[in-house]
Amino acid sequence: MTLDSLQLLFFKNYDDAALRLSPGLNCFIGDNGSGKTNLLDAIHYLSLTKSAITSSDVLCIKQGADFFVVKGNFSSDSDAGHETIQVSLRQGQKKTLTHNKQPYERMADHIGKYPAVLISPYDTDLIRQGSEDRRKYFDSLMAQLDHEFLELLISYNALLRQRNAVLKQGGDRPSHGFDRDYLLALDEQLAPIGQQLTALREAFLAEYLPIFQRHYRQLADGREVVTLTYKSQLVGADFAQLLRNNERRDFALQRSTTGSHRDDFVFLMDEQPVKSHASQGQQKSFAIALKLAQFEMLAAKQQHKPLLLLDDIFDRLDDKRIARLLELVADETFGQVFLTDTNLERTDQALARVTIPILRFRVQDGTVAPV
Amino acid sequence: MTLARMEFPSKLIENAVGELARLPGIGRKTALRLALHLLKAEMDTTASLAEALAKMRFEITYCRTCHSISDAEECDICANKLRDHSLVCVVSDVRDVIAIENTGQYKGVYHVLGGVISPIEGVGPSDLHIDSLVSRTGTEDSEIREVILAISPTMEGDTTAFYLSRRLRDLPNVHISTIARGIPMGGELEYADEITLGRSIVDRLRQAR
Ligand SMILES: Nc1ncnc2c1ncn2[C@@H]1O[C@H](COP(=O)(O)OP(=O)(O)OP(=O)(O)O)[C@@H](O)[C@H]1O
Ligand SMILES: [Mg+2]
Ligand SMILES: [Zn+2]
Repeated sequence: MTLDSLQLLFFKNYDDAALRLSPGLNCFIGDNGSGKTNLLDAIHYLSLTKSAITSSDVLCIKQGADFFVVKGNFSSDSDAGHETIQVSLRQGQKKTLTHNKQPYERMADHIGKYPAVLISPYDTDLIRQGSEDRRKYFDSLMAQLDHEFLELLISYNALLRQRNAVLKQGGDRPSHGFDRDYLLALDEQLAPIGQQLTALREAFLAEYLPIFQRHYRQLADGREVVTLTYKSQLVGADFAQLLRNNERRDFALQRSTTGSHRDDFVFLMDEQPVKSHASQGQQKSFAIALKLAQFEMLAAKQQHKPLLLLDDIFDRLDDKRIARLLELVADETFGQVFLTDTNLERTDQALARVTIPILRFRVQDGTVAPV
Repeated sequence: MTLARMEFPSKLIENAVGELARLPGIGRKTALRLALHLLKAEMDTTASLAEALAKMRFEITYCRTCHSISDAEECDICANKLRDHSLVCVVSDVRDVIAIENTGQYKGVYHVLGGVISPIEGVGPSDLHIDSLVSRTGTEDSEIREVILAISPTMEGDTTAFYLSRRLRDLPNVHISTIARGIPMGGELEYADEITLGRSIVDRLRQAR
């Protein structure tokens, strides 16, 4: 899968930008705040229908404009046909996503078809932030790998919202008294889905963990042993029973206190929490290994290699690690790669031994042009 | 210039367009076309349209047994001795009754809930005609032997069906079945074509008790 061209309209700090891309390596060079990360984010939009950085879609509309469009032309190695993906959002309206001008009925149907992996300075947030970030990260990866998981997750979240609404209303109208069947009608549906999510998350981790550990070893050359464990109230438990046991507390707190939405993935280094135990560099390597394992799993599940988006790697990694990462790039382990840097000479030096075709772009104040 | 900001040559037309555009599925463009059409047609056309609409709105009532739309206290279907009164088909609204009647496959009676359970929108079981279904089915002299749940398989529809199953499952001598086959997942009942809908009600699935 290759992104042949990219077009932006009123996306973040861009007015109107269009660029033809290399099937090999694309380098975006420019000063701080010029718009390099925004270009990678636009590609992230085409892959996952949302920003990797900005929490709300509306904030991606250029200040002063009232809509944005991100458009990409893809081609695959297998067939000659082009495919156009377009994401657009007008203020106050629903986001639209089209494939060859045909709107998708559900955004979810797009997920996993044009995979991309972003490696960025923000990745260590996964270690430092709360369980929600980690759960979302692995959910997003699993959704790209397994459509059934995505469908289950969507149902789970919809049912959970319904359940929480019932808890807030105290179980139907006060005049009618407490109606236990109301909550049970939801729990009967929620319980089997939660149980399936747990089984899928366990199975996923069993596959992901050895790949992650191998990447960490290769990248960090360290003696430390890293591991991930899955933590869930549902493991070895009967979810329906858990829901019953916590019913009173749930009504008191007006939200569901047990379930798949409380799952976490625990990051460990030599059996200690990475967050408190690992050095900054070790944390960075940990986060990059997570992403490389993600890349490998996506590539294995699909006929296409994901697009690899490398944001600011030169600033964040030591020379040894950059060299190892670029070895992988040169090795054609990766397909199409996009990277950003502030310094053209440093980039050229680092890429001296890379043999795949390279295109360099100069990014300046919301404009981008080939060097 | 957008239609929303359009200047009308007559305040009367503007009012009519405004009222028509409040109807579902009708934008201001369509509303204007309808208004101009009525202006061109005989005055009688408008008079009989207005009368039919007003009569429908003011005179229609709901059947006291099944809550379907009716001209009398009891609807034609409930009053019909030739229909099978041991069989009750539960639907969310009157459109579903019309859709199922049009299949010509169903000879039982109905129960119209008046919506589906949607906690997020504040619609709970007590906002629907559920208690009357339970009492109608549960009385000692009740003829009802089977309740068919014919509710669209959306998230809210499923929740409603699960809830009804819970409320009805302890009643002796009443079977609960659901229409399942042929209706696409996430599909709306009223959009299912007649043949599919007819077949799915004939081949309904008995629920395990
Ligand atoms: N909706 C928006 N409208 C206008 N400008 C925006 C919008 N969203 C983001 N920007 C601006 O885009 C600029 C470029 O951001 P970007 O993160 O792409 O820079 P960068 O080139 O990656 O810089 P760095 O080298 O510091 O990482 C920022 O100054 C930001 O304020
Ligand atoms: Mg940046
Ligand atoms: Zn009736």
